[in-house]
Amino acid sequence: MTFLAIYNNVDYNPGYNSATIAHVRIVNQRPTSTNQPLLIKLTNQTIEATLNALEDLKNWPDNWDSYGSVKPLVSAIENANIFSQKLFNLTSESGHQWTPPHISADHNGEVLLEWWHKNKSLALYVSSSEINYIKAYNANMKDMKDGCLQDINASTYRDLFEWLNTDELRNAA
Amino acid sequence: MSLETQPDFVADDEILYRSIPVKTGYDYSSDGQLNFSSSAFQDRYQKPSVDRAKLCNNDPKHTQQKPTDGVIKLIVGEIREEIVEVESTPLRQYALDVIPDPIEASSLQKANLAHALIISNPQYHNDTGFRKAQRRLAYIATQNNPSWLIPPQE
Repeated sequence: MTFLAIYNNVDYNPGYNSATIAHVRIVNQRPTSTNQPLLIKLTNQTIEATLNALEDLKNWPDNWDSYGSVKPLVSAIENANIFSQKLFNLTSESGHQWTPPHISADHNGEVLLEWWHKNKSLALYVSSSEINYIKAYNANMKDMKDGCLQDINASTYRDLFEWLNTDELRNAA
Repeated sequence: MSLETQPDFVADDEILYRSIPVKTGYDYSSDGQLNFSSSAFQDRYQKPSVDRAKLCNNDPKHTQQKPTDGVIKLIVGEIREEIVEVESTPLRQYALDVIPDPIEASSLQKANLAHALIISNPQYHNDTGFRKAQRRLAYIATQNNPSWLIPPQE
């Protein structure tokens, strides 16, 4: 869990709502007492947790899933890192809130990023050179849409994420 | 019991167990909804392993790969239900199936007479076919498992 810690120049007072901010930093723990800085939950607003989770993939061993998958490829992880930062920027520019993906890998070492919204799901498979996606809104394979991206830009961002985040139940295309 | 006496067909109403890796195989939506990841159904041979409940005394513990893993159930008929038409002329279709795959004891592994495989018939012709099958299994798992048979230990 990530929090934004706001420190001020006076002793922290829970009832004091207009403190002068001296500095701000990201911390990874909850406050342990009432004498801690004001902490604001930031999980849906920063990319830090996503980048940390991607970095952690480098520590996964072969057969991490007990079903014989190879460990995630470093080249795929690095591409996923670059891609995630571009995606984060596009999300910010479009005025939407960043939703961290669920991060795992597939059996041949590609990085798997997944998002869900109501019944919809979006899965992105990131290799060292390209990104393949699957959009789905139910269990029927015939209704799922797939494609390949060489890169992410404002147009492809809209195609994928505006589709995901609308409440329209159909229209996977 | 010898392998020859095992049933050679998995019935539509059979329950299957699948072990789900802790954290990586699932996630929770902001409303608390449990969603299964495609990675919950990985397999390097594109034939995810499951156990047939009735052949392991209906004990999901039998299927758990690691002490921290969760275990869920799937129903065979739901996996088989969809037939996908890939081409209309000539007609080319494929569907998922569940086939028995009992494992005999060896120096590498224990016997598992309940073991079965989720396959495509005919075989997937590319990664995308298998990935859609994984997505299908994840949706079915999400529908069937509002809670775990064995919860993962995070």
